[in-house]
Amino acid sequence: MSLYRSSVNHPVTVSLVFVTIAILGIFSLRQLAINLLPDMGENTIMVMTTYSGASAADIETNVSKPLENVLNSVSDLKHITSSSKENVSIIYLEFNYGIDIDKATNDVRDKLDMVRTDLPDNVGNPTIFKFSIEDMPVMMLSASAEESLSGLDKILDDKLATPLARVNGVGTVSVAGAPKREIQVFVDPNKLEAYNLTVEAISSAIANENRNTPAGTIDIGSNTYSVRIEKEFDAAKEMLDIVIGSYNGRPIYLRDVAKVKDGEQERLQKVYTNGERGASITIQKQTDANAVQVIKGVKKELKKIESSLPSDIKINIINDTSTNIINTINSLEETIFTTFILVMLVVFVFLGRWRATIIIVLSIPISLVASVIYLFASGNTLNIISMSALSIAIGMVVDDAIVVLENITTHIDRGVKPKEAAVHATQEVSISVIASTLTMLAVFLPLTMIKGTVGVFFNQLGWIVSIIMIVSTSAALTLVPMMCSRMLKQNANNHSWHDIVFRPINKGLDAINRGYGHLINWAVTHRLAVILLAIGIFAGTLFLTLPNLKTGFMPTMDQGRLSISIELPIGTGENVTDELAAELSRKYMDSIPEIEFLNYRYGVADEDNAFASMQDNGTHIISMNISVGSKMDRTRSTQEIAEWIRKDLKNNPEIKKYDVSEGRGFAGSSSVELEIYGYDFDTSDRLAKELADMMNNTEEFSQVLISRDEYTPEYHVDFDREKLMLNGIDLTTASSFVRNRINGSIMSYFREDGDEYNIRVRYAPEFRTSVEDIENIVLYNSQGQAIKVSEVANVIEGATPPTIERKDRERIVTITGIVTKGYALSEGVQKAESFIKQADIPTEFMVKIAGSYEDQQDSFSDLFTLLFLIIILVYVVMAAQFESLTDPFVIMFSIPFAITGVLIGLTVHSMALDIMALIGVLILAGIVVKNGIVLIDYSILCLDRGMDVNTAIVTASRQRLRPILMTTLTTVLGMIPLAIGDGEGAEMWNGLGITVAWGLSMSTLITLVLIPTLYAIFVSRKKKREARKAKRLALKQLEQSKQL
Amino acid sequence: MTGIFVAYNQAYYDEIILLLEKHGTRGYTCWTEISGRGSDKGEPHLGTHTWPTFNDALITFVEDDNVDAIMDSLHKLDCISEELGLRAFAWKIDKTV
Repeated sequence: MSLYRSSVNHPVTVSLVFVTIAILGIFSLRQLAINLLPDMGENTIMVMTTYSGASAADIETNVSKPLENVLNSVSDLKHITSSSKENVSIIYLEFNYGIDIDKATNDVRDKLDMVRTDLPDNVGNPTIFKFSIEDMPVMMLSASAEESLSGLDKILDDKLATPLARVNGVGTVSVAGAPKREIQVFVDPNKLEAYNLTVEAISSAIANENRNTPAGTIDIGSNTYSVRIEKEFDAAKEMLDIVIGSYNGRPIYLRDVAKVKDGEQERLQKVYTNGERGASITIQKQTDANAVQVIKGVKKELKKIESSLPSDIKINIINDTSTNIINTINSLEETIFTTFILVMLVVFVFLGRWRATIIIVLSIPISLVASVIYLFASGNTLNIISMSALSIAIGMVVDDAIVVLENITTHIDRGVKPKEAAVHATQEVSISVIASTLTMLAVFLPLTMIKGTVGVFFNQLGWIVSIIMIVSTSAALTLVPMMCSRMLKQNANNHSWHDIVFRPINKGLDAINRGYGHLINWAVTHRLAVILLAIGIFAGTLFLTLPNLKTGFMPTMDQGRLSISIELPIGTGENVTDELAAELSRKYMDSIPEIEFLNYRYGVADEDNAFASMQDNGTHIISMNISVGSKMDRTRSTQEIAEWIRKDLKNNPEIKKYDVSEGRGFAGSSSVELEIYGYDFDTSDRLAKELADMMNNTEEFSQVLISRDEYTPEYHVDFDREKLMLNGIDLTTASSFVRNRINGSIMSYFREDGDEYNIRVRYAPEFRTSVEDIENIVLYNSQGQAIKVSEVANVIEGATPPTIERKDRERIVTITGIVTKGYALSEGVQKAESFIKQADIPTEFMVKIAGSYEDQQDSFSDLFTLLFLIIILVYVVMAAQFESLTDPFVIMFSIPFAITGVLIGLTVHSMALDIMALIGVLILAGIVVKNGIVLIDYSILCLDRGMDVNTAIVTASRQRLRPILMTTLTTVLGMIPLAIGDGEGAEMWNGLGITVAWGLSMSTLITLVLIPTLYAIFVSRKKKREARKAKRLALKQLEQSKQL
Repeated sequence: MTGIFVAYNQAYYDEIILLLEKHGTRGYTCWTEISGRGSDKGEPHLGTHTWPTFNDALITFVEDDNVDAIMDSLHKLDCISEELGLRAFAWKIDKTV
């Protein structure tokens, strides 16, 4: 028994199989996590090696270079970059996405072991870190306080950070900016000198007085008691009364030479949110955890925590990456729903039967949830790619069901009972249904095999659409005939309202059909004209649109947040930075009404804050985070706001360097990076400046950054060894004297409520303000003689050279230009290329364009190769179906016109050809040939039934117009919600929707005329050839018979 | 006894069996999915891409007084949906064992 008959005869089994699929799908859907993009995995390994005391240049030659040389041979390596700065070398190994990072890490470890012995003796062991975009913070909170500000650090640490770190999936929680309590003892150097005292002596005196000592046990009578001396300070003020020495027989108290301040640490990173001082809490997730779920857990925990915090502490969420993800996925859900409704309407209008509509539309949810089972089983998430794949597929899944149902209705109309009609009609079209699914698989299965960055993105798209296609074809061949046999009726009695609605629609469709018949009639008799016209249209579009075609990498996604890094000249004092930061914050809060939160920090990051210390930090650097809320609630995009801020910062003479980022990487702004390779520092600096200046003066770039820093100014205390020796003091002692007076000496801790706070003794701040203050520091030798620093050392102004950056084993300076909104990446690249030509580049230097451009070139070359492969596969599938080489060749002519449509679409919407649009082109290669297949297939049928060429082609075209229009309309209308959507994240899939909608519409319009005409030409020539052959054969036979 | 040979579009199968039963005929021999073509009109049933439908054929032997009724019913069935195609032929049987 055939599959179709079994399905018709076993309605319960068939229904239950699909119900099971649906239930499993719904179950998977409920379990599925959501995310913005598919899991990228880790692709970067960092190797950090320390070499104490070595300068940047020494590190470069002795550590970075040998390590790079050996690490360069690790397989799958894309780029190797390094930065060598004082004491440390950091090497980044960037791999292609999708590789097994653990294998790569092992490889790296082996190579490091190999080179270990070649490194200088004092080089520390290289440490390996893995990381990816997934390690970026997922959430940022701010805490503000009034009365509790001084204890904020401890409160946040105990009550917030610790419980949050226990939430499932949370990696690290770091608190920055909370004032840290410290007991400071500020001494007056003049008084010290007068009493012959030192900072060290005071520090140790305090330590000696601040003791709890267990003194053993004592037996009194029949009891044993322990004896303790408890003289640790209970309050900081107690310290003032301790005796630190004597002078002329009189005791000297600490209060005589110093002030004690129970306050906060100096030089801490300071954090402000919406202008108020507070702390910021950064939450990073574990690499494999899901951001949305982690944040959900954190928010739940936060609710509990908030009630236990003192009432004046307010916790705000400044940055919550999950809102954007959830909104994006919601907006895609809406798109899918709209698409579903549109497709259903098209089917209903064309078929005019609600039962038929239900049968067809039912295959949509079944196939969609089946693909969700795949997502769940393979550990993937619902993300932009998987959801757009679902949306793309909706319009296509109904095609097979439509073909089957249409044939069943034809049979029923001929008088066959629905049950028999369902079996035989399905059997008749099964081959062509399977063949058209195979052409789609020829497009989508290769997508599952791409490697690298593009692969990470499109493997999912490939799998999902392939699975949907397979399931929908299975449904079309089993569920649809089964339902038709049960639900469709012979001689269905239509109601009067049905006539009122559908008579005009049918009349309209018939009129279109007649008109199309006339057109094809004309076309097959004016073949040359049609072909010339088609060539004209194709060439004309290329000529008009190609020169202006812009290309890009990825669309920039509006994520509702900006991060700004502002650098003032190195060495700018904290007070100046503070003033500027406050001023900028006020200004932006006033003039950018979209701002929901503005959080900024400046100062040196605490060493135990992993996230903050990895970023650039210092007294001259302000890092700002701005949250502007959902795209739907404002008129300006983040890109526009970013550009406004860039202009403002550009005009501020105080600022040396700024970087306003609305997100980098895949969904971020596109950038053109100029990489200057070459050894000489001065030449590369000059070249970088020259190119950056040129880029800065054009409209195409809204921001230009040079990667190399300047020399950092500093003071060197240059001790003279001979003089030190003569004074009986060694260098270590001398340096520790200087350090203890400026940085302070910590020898004891103040304990309260189980926490320890540093007691730091150092010069009062007013005695640490000038070079003279350093020169006047008094050193004491072992004989107790006082020697001023100025007697044994010169305090000179110096500069540390900047970090030496290298990429692919050569020194490099990178200039990053952010492409202005409204300009495409290709325009930025063109400008940059012209600048490179203008610049005076010495022969030993090389300038290369990288950044988004490099990614674009890599991905485009991958995708074009894939397009070529797909076209060949589609051809092979069609050739097998028709058992002919010429018929599929004729059908392939729909592809160039799909490209015409894409070019027109991109020009009309003034969009750039980016990865998403190119993926649209790939999909088109499979979809546009479907119409051709239907047309040619039926033409062959008519020819075989004995019609002459022209009649066959006209009949076939008229017969197949309705199903072609129907399937095309479902696909095109299915793409429109994607193309015109403006919800959150819509920028990502607009391009895809626009390309497919325009490409398919144009290609359908043109091929509906061109393909029949071309086919007429091929068939006529074939017939003529055959006729000539037959004539020759007949003549030959005649001659042979004459000879006989 | 009269033999009746019916060649018909395979979609008729159920109806023809039912029709025979109605006329008290139990026995028959049937060939399914066979190809064939009418002598003057109608679509061929060849099971090819061009002519995708198949025929079935059935032979049955009935008492003489039942033949007309069966032939009439078959004709009526054919008239309902002529496009499908149904032909029946009857001839005398000389001997059976």
